[in-house]
Amino acid sequence: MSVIEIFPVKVYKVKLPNYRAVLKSLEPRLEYFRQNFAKRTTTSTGEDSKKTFNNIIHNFAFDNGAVEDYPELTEVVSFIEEHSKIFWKELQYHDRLTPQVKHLQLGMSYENGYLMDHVHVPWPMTASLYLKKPASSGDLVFTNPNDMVMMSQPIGDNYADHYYYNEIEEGDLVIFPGYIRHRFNQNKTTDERLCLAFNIGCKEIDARRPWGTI
Amino acid sequence: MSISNIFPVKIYKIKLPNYKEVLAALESRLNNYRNNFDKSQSILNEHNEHNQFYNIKHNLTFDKGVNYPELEDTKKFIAEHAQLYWNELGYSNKLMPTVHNVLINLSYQDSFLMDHIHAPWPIIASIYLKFKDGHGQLMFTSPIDTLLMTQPISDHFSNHYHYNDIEEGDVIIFPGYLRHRFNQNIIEDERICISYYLGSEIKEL
Repeated sequence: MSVIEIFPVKVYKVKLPNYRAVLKSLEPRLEYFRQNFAKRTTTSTGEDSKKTFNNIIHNFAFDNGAVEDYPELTEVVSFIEEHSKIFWKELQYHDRLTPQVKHLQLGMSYENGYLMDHVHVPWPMTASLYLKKPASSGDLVFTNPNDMVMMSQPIGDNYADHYYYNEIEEGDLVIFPGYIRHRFNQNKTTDERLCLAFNIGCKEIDARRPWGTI
Repeated sequence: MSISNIFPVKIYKIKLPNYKEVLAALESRLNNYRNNFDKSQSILNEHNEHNQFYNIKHNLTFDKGVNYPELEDTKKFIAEHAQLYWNELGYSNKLMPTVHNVLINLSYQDSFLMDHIHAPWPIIASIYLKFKDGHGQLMFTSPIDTLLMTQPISDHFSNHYHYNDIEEGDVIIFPGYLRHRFNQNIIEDERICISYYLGSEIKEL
């Protein structure tokens, strides 16, 4: 008798060797955001709650939009692109396209902060780098893309196969397909969690074609 | 660096020890079907095409065998292993899988069976009583294939399909929601497959 596992979703994980130095280089910028953004707004009640995607009472993410604006991350971007090429190949994505970091988001989360289910499509890949990840500061949880079908099965109250809890340490870089739904669970500590998300597109992108000039 | 494989679909495989005896026990019944089956029959639709789901024009026949006494032991065997598979899938321990329906399938040259699922049956088991190379593979399709096709895959579809390596006597048990097909039987030889549809009953507490 054998149980064969087919059609897995692949997730790539690697440690950024110099993550402490990267964190240090970002510190002046982080301090600016702490002073100017943290705890500034609340969207948990009132009119704004209707448009709430993430609970930004103690959890905010800002989107700078362009990696060029972060010269201190140049080496990190190169590291991510190097590993995303390996993952790209593993996923058997097009060999005439080259993955390239296009865009980044910096998320700082405080006590009770969380981020609800979302995807990063149409980006084919996303890389998350955990620069500060205290224990109990909230897991990165993937949701099975087949979850609606699985919920139609006689599962009782067993949802274990529907979610995947990543074991993450500081310095970890997790690369995953942009279509995988995921969330950050609540930060149950009083410490700051810091995650950088890099959205990865293709170097050869061409507006006339979805994946580039191939 | 590591790559994790998460959210796989699980498939159960086992050999039916006495499959040759089962086939022998069924032989007179199978002969009856062979003799009465009109291999020249053709079912055409309004576009003058033969059935696009299964190629009945080129010989494919079904029979329901849930009450056949010669299949009683196989039903028990399937139910026993389906229970192990049920546990593996994490399905409710207050329910137990039971065989509700049995389908016998004889396939001849050029026949095929297009993509289909067996939902809402939670589990399907297939026994290959006669099978050899060229008979047409049992091929599963990823339940997220449409999503995968939105990715920059070029012409690499290998992650979209799973081709089962099947030998005579193999039993494959899989979720009823999993889309699958039988590719074309390209040889002049009969393939025999019996499918068991498993539902569930409440366990006595």
